[in-house]
Amino acid sequence: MNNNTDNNIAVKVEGLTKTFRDFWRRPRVRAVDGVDMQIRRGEIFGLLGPNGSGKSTTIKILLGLLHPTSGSVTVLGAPPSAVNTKSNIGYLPEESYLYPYLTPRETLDFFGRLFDMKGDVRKERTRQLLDMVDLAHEADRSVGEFSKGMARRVGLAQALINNPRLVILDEPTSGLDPIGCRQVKDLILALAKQGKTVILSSHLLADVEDVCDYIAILYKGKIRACGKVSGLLEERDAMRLTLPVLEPAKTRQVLAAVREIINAEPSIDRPSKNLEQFFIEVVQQAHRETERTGDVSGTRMVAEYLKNE
Amino acid sequence: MNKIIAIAVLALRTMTRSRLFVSLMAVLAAAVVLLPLTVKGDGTLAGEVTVLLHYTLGLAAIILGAATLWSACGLIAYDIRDKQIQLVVAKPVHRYQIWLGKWLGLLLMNAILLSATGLAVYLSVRRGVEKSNCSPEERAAVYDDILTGRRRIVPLPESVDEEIHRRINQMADEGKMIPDMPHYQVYAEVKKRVLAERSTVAPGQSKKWTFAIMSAPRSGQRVTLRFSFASTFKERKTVSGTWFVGTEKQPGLFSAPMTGCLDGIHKLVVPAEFFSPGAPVVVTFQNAPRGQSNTAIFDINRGMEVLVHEAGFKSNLVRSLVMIFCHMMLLSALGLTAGALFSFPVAVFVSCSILIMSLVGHYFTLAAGEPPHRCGINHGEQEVSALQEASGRMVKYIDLIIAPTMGRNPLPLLADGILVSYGFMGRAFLLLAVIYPGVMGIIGVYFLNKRELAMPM
Repeated sequence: MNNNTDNNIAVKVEGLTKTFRDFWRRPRVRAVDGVDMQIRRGEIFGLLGPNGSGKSTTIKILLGLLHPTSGSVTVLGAPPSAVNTKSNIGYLPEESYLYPYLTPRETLDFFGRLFDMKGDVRKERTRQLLDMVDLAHEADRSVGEFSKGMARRVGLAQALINNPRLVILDEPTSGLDPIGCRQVKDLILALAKQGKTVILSSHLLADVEDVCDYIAILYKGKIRACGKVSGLLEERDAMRLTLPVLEPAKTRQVLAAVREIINAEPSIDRPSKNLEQFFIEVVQQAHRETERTGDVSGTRMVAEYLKNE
Repeated sequence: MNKIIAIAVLALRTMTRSRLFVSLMAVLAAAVVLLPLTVKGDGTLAGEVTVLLHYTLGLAAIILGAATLWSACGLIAYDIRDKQIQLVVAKPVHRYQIWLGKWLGLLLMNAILLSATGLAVYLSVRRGVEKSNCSPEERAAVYDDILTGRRRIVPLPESVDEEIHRRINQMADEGKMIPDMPHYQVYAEVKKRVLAERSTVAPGQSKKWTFAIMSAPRSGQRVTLRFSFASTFKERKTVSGTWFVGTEKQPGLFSAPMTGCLDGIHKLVVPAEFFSPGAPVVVTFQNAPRGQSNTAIFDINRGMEVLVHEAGFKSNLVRSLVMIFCHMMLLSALGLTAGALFSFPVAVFVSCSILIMSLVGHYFTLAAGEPPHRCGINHGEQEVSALQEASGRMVKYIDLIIAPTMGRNPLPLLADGILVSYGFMGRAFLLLAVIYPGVMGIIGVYFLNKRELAMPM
């Protein structure tokens, strides 16, 4: 989000406005209103906002699915209409939008063909991706029979079939169970580690906070806040000291010492795990006990070819 | 190409995994199997085979055409409605590749279904002919007249213009012109009368037809004169006479008597050597004198033709199927382009409207006929309203676009044992499978490129 040379910029948006019109060409709603932003290569960028804030519309303009009313957009150095640039983009829409009569294997094979991949490469990547999203055992069932979470995993796999440099994920954890959510977030972090740029759109604040380097908060089409996550969330007038559990007497000693230094009453509490972490631990324990691979498992690992940047 | 093939295979999967495909297979099977069982033609083996070829294949083509148009309208329109196209367009795929891929998919489906239908019809015909209890002569006639591919040579048109002008001028001089009748209608009526008179051969009279033979029949090729006439109208009377084949200088090189023939279609086998290119071949019918024969009125359009056996039934059937396939290519392009512009129901409505308007426009244009020159007679200006003028022009312009695609139905030829030639098929391919779908494709791709594919519904 900072000033950088153009080479280092993955996405550049200047004065982007999108107005939807009705049948008679009368302006109906301004979904995006004068948005400016830059996303650097290798960054995980979060687009945050409530429903109808313009996140998905912005993403669709980046992909050339909608045309801007005004403003300019550059994605990987080219306009969104440039077809060749899309070889380096992976996209997961807010719903999976898969062909219901295709199986996951056929789905990945089809999208692989659209990237002109050779048969053996497609086959190998399909295998790795199905393993990654834990759908190898359901590879030949129609996607139309899948739950929303399973379809989401197929959607995620198709977004990565081309080993993209820019990954655009619109509500990637929607419909996933907590383990699936965690593993998608781990996957996003792993992708960023490989130098890929990730744009993540979500209204789930915890998801964004867990993985994003930079965020922009949209409301009614305008950016209301933008910057580095740590910088935006940091409380500059307070700090937290974490210690092992002490005996009551020692605790009183520490508090007295701190009180003397800050000349005020310090607060004390016990750090707690978040519910997501607790849930994952319980389920993983149960999984180890029953040795089941089943309903609640999610993505397991990063596909090999995605690691070989 | 890989991307286009991928989209084509996807389109084929979309169709084959839908209920439409299963229903279509059932309806086609019913058309091919049940129709011949319910319609028996005129009770003869030839009638049965003709029904099977003309009506069964025709019905199958209509069913397939409707299903093709329906599927084509839905292939892109549903992808946009259900948003799968967003995933496809987000990949490195040009929108023309999407259009072409879907078109190719439709063609693959049609190729599969048409091949299956063609094979079923072929086997039914063969089985029907072989298992029939008819006489060997009747069976042989079916092979000679229907299950074959015969090149049709029609006589050179007779020059009637001079006669028509003379009569019109005479009518004008005698004040016999009907007031307010447009001049082109007068011309058409007089022409009809002149041709009818020239087709009438009274006892003791003769009539001749001249043929320009472009390529000589090979030795052993079967050459048939096929003629159709009616005898006097009130009661069916027989006609007798002699047929001559020769040249202008030697009209009687070959002759064959005809005795006691009732009206209808008749044929006469003539040795191939009398039809050599170069000098025009003259066929003459000499009606026997009054008392031995009656007046014969030859059909104006199909009164006389020379049929030269050129190809077998199998290749004729294949060429006919290719021509039906060309029609499907056109319908696929029309539906896809409509689907690229509109939602599914609107696309179906627009496509059907275009087809109906085209057919009706063409019919009206044919019915009105082309006004010839005014023959030097002033019949006064007709009162035509601006609306009539505009609609007339519109129909004419629509017909200018549509007319080249019309008259390319091979089934009447196939059912009549007439050759569906490579030239006929090639012209149909060029128009129905290349030029018209090409123009429609350009329009479809243009609008698909312009269209925002992720508009909120």
